[in-house]
Amino acid sequence: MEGAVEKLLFMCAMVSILTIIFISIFIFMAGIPLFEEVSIIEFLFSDRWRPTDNQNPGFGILAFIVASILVTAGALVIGVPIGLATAIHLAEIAGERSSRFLKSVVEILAGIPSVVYGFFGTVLLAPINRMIFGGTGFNILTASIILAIMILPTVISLSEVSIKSVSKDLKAASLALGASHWQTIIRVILPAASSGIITAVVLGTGRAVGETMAVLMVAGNAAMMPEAVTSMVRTLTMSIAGDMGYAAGIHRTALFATSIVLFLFVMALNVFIKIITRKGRI
Amino acid sequence: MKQDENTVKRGGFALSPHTRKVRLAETTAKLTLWIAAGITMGTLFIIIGYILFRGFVSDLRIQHEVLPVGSKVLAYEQNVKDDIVVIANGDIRATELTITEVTELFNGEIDNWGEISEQDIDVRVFLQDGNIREEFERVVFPDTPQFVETAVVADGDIQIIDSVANTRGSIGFISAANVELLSNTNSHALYVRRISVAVNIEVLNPTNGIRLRYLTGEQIENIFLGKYRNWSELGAADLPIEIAVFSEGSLVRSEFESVLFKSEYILPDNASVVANPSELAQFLVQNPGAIGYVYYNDAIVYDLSLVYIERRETQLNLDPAFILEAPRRAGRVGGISTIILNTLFMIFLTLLLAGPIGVAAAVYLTEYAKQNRMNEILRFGTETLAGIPSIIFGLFGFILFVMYLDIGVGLLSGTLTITFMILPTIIRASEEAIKSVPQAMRESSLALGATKWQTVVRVVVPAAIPGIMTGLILAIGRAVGETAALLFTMGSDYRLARDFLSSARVLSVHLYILVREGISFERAFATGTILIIIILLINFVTNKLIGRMVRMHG
Repeated sequence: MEGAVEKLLFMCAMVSILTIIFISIFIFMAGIPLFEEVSIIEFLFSDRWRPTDNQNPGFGILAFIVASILVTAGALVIGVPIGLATAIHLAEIAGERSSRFLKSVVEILAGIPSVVYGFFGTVLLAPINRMIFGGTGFNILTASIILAIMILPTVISLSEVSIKSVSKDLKAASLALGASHWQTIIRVILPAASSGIITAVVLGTGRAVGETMAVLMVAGNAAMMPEAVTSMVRTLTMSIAGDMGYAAGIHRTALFATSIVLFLFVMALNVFIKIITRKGRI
Repeated sequence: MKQDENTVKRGGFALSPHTRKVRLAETTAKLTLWIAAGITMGTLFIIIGYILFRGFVSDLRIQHEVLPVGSKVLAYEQNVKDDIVVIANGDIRATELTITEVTELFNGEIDNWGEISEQDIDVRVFLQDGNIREEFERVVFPDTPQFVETAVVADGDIQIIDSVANTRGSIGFISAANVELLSNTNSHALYVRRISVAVNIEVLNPTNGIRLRYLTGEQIENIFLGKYRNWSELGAADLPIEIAVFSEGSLVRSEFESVLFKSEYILPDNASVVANPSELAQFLVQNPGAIGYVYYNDAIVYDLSLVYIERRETQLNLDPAFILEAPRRAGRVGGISTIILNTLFMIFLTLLLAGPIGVAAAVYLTEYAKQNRMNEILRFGTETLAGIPSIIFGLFGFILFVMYLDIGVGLLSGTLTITFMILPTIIRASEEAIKSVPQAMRESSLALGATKWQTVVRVVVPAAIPGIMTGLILAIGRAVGETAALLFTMGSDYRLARDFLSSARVLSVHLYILVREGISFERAFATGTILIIIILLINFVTNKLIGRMVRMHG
């Protein structure tokens, strides 16, 4: 009896890892056939995306990769400083009450559905952007701001935990040596918490790269190489979600191949986190 | 100097420049942190505040071809005995119609109230014969009168009122003399907006790339009061404004003046009098910069160039009907009741699948697993699964359930996909909860002779219930907000799901479709409001549960 139960529980615990294995098997099986027709080099390094052109189709996703990188970088540039500063405020400065309040704010931010963020961007941020920069207002900048808001909870809560878990002795020692509170934060606490903070930023990156609905609604969806922060762009996720509804044949295969790129990137981030946290422990 | 005095007072001795610099840096830095925290909070308040506000109150500026205000009494010529009032069943929320809407309601082009009052009720038309019908036809139909085939002919005002009051979705007309009979019946009179403003075509031509797109009611009022003398003052072409009004005593003139001006109207000196619509048409053609009012149906007959008139409509957006009624016409009319039910089905099924698996996995990881490589791999799996983008889950679900297993795009495929997605949330929260159960409880149970499994089922899991519940509720939050994974697995049929295989639209997908297809931003705001309320509720409940957990285990 006990043995059987343990086996059953083990099976349940295996579901996560099995899911990941199945996900990789399925999307690789669905996407790899593309490379019988298009070379990997062309797929990754050409920006010619004409999947429905019968005479001369193009399956280059470089523009989408660049767009994903730019939008994510923008989100990190805006979101990480604000998130990190909020986390320091939460862990080191805010009183019990205001910190509890701020924490529930972060929790609610984390809970808001991405389609609501996208809608908010559509009805408020894009029009403001349009007023300032002209054009449609649906561009890299709007997408980056929305993504920055969306990664805030990840960055804040993980950074806060790692800042709080820095040994009190370190802080006390620094203060005893005459360092001010701020000097202690910058020179002692943050370096000690760095592996946790890096993990937070990397997880935020993963969230930003993989986010679909919000960017789909605000980034403009133009399959072209971006030229400025006010360019309308299409990211990897947008390309998949936008075309999947009607794509067939090799076009659909190309979308699965796009998802392989996305999947490998996210997996690489996870392995990176694993390495970072292991180093942090030692 | 003043600052120095202060520091001396506070510290009792002068601070060195270096200390002062450090203090300044300290204050600046903390202020920056405080501002960052403020931005985080401000962002949340703006998002929630804006969506809830627009979700509850719709404040639209809509351009019509008729004046913003209507009149209850319809008449065409002076010498008719009976003026006409259009009445509707009391369940209809509309209180006013444009003349075009009246025409289309009676000739059958509009067969559902959805387009007018957003109610999914079919239109039923009641008519009566005699003089009043001829008069009604002349007022309402610009060309050949034609009533909808299903129209029922009743006999006299009293029977019309009786039929309209007792038939859902019905509309009819009675003579104005009997309008008092409507009180205490389930019916009401409708205001009809039917005065348009026509101009010389040159007023509407673009100048310097800018076109006069519409006028507001206030601007029209001021034009006819003579306060504007040139169209350039209104952003249109440089033309003098020439006003045309109908002769004194004509119906259209008295209606125009009564709906637009509160006090007595005095003609400005740039006004000319015309006798009838055909004279007005001539006046409008001959004078560049001419403007005049006219009944909309006459404007159609004489092919006049009309100006759009903007009207601000403020009303309750998210009302009980929106939650209770079923959607129709891709969500243009009706409510979202079936979509809410579909969402509940999905949550229920997902929890039924993911709950037991997740809790069992957590029990294994905390109570049974040895600290070895296998355990580390399992943990890595859970963490990685949490980081996989939802669109990839969507593709995975699509390939596995729709392409290979061939169970189609529907409730079951969507639910299974979501199950994999929310597992990590449940596993992690349950793990934390089970870990926080004091070791002493396990030991006492084992000491009393219980087996490990008995201890887990009877002692550990019950003690961890609040934490497990927190995980389940967080998982609900994640499932409710998920869109990308459901687009290609669960489908977007807004009707109630009939079985596990039927395509079903959930709230988040509905919001996306409303925005993507430009169906209605107002409805998108209302749907977004419901989503946010659910998230706030979930946050409230989890905080309560966590509070209880902290009290239980210290």
